[in-house]
Amino acid sequence: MASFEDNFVYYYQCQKFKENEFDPFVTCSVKRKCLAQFYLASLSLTSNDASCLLLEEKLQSYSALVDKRSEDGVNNYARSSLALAAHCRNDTQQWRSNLRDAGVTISKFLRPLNCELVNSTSPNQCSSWDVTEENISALLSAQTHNCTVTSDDCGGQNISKHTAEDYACYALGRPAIANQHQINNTRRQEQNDYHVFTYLHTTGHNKSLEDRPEQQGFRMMGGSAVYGKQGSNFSSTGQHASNMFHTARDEMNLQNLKWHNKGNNGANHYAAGGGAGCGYGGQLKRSLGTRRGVTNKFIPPIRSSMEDDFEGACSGNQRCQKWEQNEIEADERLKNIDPKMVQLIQSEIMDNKTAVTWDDIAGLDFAKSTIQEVVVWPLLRPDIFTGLRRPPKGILLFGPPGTGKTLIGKCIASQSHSTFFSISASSLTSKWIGDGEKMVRALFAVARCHQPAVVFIDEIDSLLTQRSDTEHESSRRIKTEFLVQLDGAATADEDRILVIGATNRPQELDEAARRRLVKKLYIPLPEFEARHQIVERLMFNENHCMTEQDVNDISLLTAGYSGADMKNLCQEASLGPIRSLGFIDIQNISPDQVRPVTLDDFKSALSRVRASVSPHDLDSYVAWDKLYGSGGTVVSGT
Amino acid sequence: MALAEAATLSQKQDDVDEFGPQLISKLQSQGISAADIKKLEEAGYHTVEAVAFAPKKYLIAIKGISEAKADKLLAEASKLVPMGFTTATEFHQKRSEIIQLTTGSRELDRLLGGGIETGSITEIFGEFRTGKTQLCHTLAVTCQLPIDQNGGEGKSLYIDSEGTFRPERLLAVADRYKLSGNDVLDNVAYARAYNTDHQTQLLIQASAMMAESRYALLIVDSATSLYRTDFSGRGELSARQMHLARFLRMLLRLADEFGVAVVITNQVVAQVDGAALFAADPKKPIGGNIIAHASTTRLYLRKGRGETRICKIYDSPCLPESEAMFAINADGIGDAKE
Repeated sequence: MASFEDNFVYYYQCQKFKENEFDPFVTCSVKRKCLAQFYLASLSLTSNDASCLLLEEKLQSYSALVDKRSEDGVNNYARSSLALAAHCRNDTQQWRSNLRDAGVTISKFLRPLNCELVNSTSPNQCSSWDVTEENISALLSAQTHNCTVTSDDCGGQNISKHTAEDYACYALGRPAIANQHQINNTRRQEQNDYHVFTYLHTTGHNKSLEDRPEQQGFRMMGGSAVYGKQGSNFSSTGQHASNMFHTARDEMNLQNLKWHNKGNNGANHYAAGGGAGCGYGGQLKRSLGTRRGVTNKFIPPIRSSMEDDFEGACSGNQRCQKWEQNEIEADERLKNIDPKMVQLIQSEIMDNKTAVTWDDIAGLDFAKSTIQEVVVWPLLRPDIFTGLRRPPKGILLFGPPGTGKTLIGKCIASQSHSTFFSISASSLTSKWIGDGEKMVRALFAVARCHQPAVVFIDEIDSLLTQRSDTEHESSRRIKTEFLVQLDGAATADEDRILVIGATNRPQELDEAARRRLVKKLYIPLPEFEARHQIVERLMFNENHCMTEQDVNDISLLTAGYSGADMKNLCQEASLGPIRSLGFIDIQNISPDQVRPVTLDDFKSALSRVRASVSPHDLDSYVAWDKLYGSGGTVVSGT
Repeated sequence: MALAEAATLSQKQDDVDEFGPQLISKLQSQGISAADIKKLEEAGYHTVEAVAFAPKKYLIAIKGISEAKADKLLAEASKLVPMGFTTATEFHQKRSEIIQLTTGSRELDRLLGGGIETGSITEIFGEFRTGKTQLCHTLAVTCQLPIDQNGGEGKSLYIDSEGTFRPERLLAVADRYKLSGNDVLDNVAYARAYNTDHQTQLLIQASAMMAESRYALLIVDSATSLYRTDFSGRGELSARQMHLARFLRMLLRLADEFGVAVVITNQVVAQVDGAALFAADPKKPIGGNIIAHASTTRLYLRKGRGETRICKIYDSPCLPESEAMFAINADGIGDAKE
């Protein structure tokens, strides 16, 4: 009794001293404590009714303070909630319910409201449901009992039984609507002072309004308990599994995190927590929706591909087999040949052909017509070119360097609509003994599969030189294999494979190869007309001021120049106008201000670019052409 | 189309479940109370088979199961699980239907008579870098393949005691078989074992998981490494062997109950005493006779030239003692190239 009085005096003084306190919450709590002490003191001294009368005035002042709608008032509900929530983590996923008969416990508190039963709209008829202290404490203890937070990292933050109580309060206070009546909840959160509450209750002060948030609060609490129960259901299925096992995907995420050395705290925490996707601090890539855990059913890991929708169930291996079968059927002739070699040879097939037309080749009319006759016409009319009219199997293009042998090859590649193999010595030779021959064999086998085919061998002298005693055995075997494949016992007449060789040194060719390359076409240096054509063609796109006479002069002056030399000359001449500029001008001159190329530029260029082929060199070609050539070319030095 | 596919898939799943292990909840229809079933589940008995195969002593040891109740449990369980005699014909028929999981290497599969056998324990031992872990990784993926591709159409469970599990390797193997990498990873349940007790504890959880969904493979890599250090010296030898024997017994139980293939790896010990000096290969698997008797098939791996490895059948009830060469490729275990 005396202690009540002492307390009362103490709180009363406190209130008086702290009334000007800045924080409304402190003021409130002091007032409330005061009220409580006052109530207890008055109860102990007088009857209940009397004390009620005494309290009424003070309560009114208190509620005025509490209900004051201002931003820093007590009514601002968020701050206290945040303060409460600040030191506890609401790891709802880690809540484990030990409550076996949760439904029974909670259904006690889930009575329908009277107003719901009556189905009345008037709030006055909504008589209160007697919430007794026992009920609350029972529920609280149930919560305390149920909500054991298993997370380890909460342990360090003073979350124990008290925390569970806080949770319960939090649940009570959750309807965070700016409802003045919820002040009661707030009050209780701060201090479990039920006396004031019960007092308010019994006095019926704002009774009908008081009740609703209470009940709402309890319903919320019931809701949270139900939630906890759901959580427990969720965890009980994976209770054992999620603790220790996780999927390999999680493991990979974890390992990636470790290796990239970021969020390692999170990773550790994640490892400790063990649950699927509950690492808070980790920089895990989050994904919405459900993630499959270890407890899920087996899902056949069949890759869904767009093109194979109709055979979705068909597995990858079967598809592979089918594909392989097709490949094998297509290449029946290749079955005895190493697939790797076939692949190598197939990579030599030129697909991206540069567009070169016959008109791009200046002069060389005989060579052009011969090749058209051998390559193009048989493709157009294969029925006519049979028997004796069958096109030859080999063409040899020879002549001094830079006269367009390779250009003819390119032209054939782009103009003839046949498979074009561009072969050099490197694509046939191998470091293994015997592989070179096999490559040659593979080449012809693949070419046979891709008929009609053109095999263009640039610098054929590297492959088919004169056989001699001093040469290495392996290169000799490549040669002989080549000869056999070109025209041997095994080759059929119907094969439409054309071998085109180009060389600068026809005299070094093996005589057997010479025989097989039936058409031997001399590609001479360009004649006057051809040079004229070359200059015209090359200068066509350049800015020049040369008359027809000038071009004739140039063509005359460049006797003995090869096609490549002519190109060099034109390049050199086109640089003339640039050279005449100063260094400063080059930096800021616009392209159209450059002066056009003149005859003088060519004349100065002539002194810089000389013919790369001497007339003496030509003699050997002419002699060889006379001896073996297919003729038709007018050999002229001019 | 996809819907129909899913439907057939789920039907297939149902079919599979019918032939799978019988869940312990089935005992409820035989007159066992739900509370008792709960107790059994907590003790790690998730299937009727588990109860039927358990010695009475162990059942009595469960808290809340009296002797009379254990008798009743056993009687009811044995009604559901055939445990009597069958003819060799019948058994042969059953054996011929056993799924074998491909190892990825045709040579190795041929040596093993089709692959890793389900329903029994296969032990792989060898020195370091002989491909034990790589084989495990490949198997963890191949067990998910359809049965017509020599897979198991089931998930796999990976217990790792050496910290050598690398999911990227699974992805590489998945790519090789044109499987979806994410699904493959999701189908592998992984746990790291930290000590021998934990390792045993994991098996209890494994049985719970196997009761829930279809597993085809259980990998323990390695089964003995923790025993080597948790028990040291001759003084603890007996305890160690008993513990190991219990562990292996549980593995065998899982293999029996769920029909999963159990693959364990084992380490080797070099014999340094006098007699071994004359032996050509002084390496022996550890674990002594316990593990030797427990594992059905024992494979000895040793290193060959380059990435090739040689597998030798060390012990098997039916396979002849011979060798095969395989290779560790970027995409898992494969055939050795000439």
